[in-house]
Amino acid sequence: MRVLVLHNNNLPSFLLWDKEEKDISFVSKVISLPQTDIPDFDSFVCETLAFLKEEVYDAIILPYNTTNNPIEYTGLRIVAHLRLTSQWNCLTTPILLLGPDTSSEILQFCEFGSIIGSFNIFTMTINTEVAVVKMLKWIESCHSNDKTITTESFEYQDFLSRMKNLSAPANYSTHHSLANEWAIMRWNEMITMPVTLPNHEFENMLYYKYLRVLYSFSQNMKKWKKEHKNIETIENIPKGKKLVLIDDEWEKGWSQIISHIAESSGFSFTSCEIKKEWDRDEMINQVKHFIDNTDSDCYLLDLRLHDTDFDSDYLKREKKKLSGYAILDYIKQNNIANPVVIFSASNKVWNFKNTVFKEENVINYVLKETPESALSAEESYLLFIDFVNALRTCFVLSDLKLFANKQKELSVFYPDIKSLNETIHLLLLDKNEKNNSIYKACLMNLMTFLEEYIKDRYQLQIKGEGSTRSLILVEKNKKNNIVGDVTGHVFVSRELKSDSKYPIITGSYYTATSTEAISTFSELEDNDFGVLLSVLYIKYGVNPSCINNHFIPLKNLRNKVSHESGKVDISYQAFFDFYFKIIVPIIEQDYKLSNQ
Amino acid sequence: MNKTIILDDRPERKKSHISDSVIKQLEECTSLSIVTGESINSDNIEVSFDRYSLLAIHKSWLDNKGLTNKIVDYCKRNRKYLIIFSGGIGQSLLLDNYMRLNVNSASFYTDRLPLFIEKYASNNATAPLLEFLYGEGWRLPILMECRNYLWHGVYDDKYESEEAIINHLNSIFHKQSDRYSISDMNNMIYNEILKTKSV
Repeated sequence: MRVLVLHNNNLPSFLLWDKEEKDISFVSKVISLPQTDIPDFDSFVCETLAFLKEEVYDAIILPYNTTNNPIEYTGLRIVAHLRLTSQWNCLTTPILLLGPDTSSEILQFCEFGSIIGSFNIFTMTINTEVAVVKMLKWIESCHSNDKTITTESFEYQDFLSRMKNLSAPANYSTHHSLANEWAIMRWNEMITMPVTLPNHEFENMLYYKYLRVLYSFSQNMKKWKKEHKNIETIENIPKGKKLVLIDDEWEKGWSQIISHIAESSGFSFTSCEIKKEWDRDEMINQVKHFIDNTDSDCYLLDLRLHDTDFDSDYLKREKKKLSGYAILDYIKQNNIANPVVIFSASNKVWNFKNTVFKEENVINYVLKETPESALSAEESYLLFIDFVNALRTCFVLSDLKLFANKQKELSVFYPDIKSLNETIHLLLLDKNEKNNSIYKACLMNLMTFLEEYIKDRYQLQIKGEGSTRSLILVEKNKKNNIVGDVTGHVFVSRELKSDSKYPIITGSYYTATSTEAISTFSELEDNDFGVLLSVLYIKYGVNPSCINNHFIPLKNLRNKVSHESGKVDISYQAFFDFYFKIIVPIIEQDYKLSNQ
Repeated sequence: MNKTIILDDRPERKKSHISDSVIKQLEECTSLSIVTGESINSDNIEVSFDRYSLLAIHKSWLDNKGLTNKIVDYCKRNRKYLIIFSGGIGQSLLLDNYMRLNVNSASFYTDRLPLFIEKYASNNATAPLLEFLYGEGWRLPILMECRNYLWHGVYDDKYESEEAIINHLNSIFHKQSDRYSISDMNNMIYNEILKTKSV
């Protein structure tokens, strides 16, 4: 029998040295805190007992305490570490606690003192060698290290229940960090090829170890991974997209994990390298500088970027909002269409779901799970899927940044174009869900703008009669106002579909020398559709195929849905094309921007 | 008068743990200075700390300044009590023969902190850090430690023999006993537990 004796020279002398006694091999290890520095006891234990990864013992003996102050019960804390650290192979190893302490003292002064009653933990107040050897022999015969006990066994669950009074970290900041590290650990466990994470201060913390075991993914992780293969590879990401992470915990592992996901999925990734030593104002300025110099198709933004964000009194007194909101404001001031996903461990994000996030057109929010949320693997996976979906949406909608930039540029010359910002807001609100009402509103916004713009400026006039009859496009309120002769150039075809009162109209343009037969088309009439087609073809010289592809389908749809309900069955790209290929060239021509 | 200094680089931190009225009580303690550490000269800590006999310093300030070992040494050499507090400390530790305490911020910023500082100022505390932690039951850890020595029988620099323990116990409890059995100790511990407010 191989017995490990852990002590700080505070066990009877026969246990303080390596020795062999009645087929028992005693291995003695001193657990003594360093004299300088600020020893964190949990880290100290983890460093000191790291040798257990390589060594196996049949039993462990230790005193109730290993430090000066017996009330600290650090020996029991070591026992808890032994049971909660799977790498040390001590989950079931018999443990014998020696000392004069009474049960009532232990239960009173150690918050998890009742673990002395859990499986394979024994106590003894007798301090003679004979009694200890006898006890070890009894343990060997009756309570050998039972390898069939797992963390899911009743015995182990009973031990865990006795740990329930273990104190959580005391301040919010620590809890925030803990939640972050918890979420990082969960994400890393889910991905097929886990990344090497930086050393976490909290990994050594007893509370963290306890939570990790208490809320661990099921033993069926391998099976789960088979069913959810390569979750880090997000399929069908458009090329050339870029994700930016703004999170003060970036270097705790988020950067490594998201970088791994980015590499597997084919998008690029950058972290804003926030430094903990920055004060609040410096941090905000540095992040703004980073945003100014970094293009992004998705900003993954934490809301609490600075320690002061955890101090509600400070925020109230200084009339500050969470630093993440200041950054959100800035991102949106730069470009209203910048796609932002809130990435937070705070449940408070839910409070802002229908207020701030809507006002700021936040695409979505992804919750970093906290230990106490006690999520199953499947539920954790759903949070990861929230992230994937949010990312996809951002990457699709990021083209709206171009729309917003163009709007900004054109509005300098033609302020009325700002009315089209409504489409940007609506498409951001829609989050690429293709909501029919939102799409209908976008269609009306864009088409009404074009119709009013053209009809305010141009009209068709009939001149002559009989064989001399012609249709002329004229500019309103101008003297030499003839833009061109429409006759013989622009034709329309109307096809009445059985399911609609409104005809589907097709328009075509022919040059004066064209000999092509026009069987199904008729001469253009002086109506709404005619004016628009004539102006696009003749005044602005818009390419006929461009009109057929990007104007006519939307115009038909607009006529249909404005009079009867129906599905606005077009793509997000159709709005984009209509704006850039029809509206923008018109405004640029009129205001000669293209020549500037 | 024993003077105390509390150095917390984020003064707002205490508001998470104690009420405004307790903070006001702290501010009214004439023996106490509360500072954020900005004016402390890292190269000459003696100038800043010499007049205090109890230093309570937040761990983040020590970490950021890289002054941990220097301050610990300084306190040891000058027989000053040192409390290092932080939200990240999970296990309270009394070190250096009860002269140094590592404690969680929540256990440091408590309602009884102003009372402790006042009592410490009046020189009425025998073992200040034990009293800070255990109030009237401050003898409890000493009793338990002595019982441990008697139980395992391994003596060291702190207690060189059973006689040293007996003398120490006699002096603390004002007794004249020539022997303390484990059973006696258990009874004394039990009585002391009854005096302990909280641990």
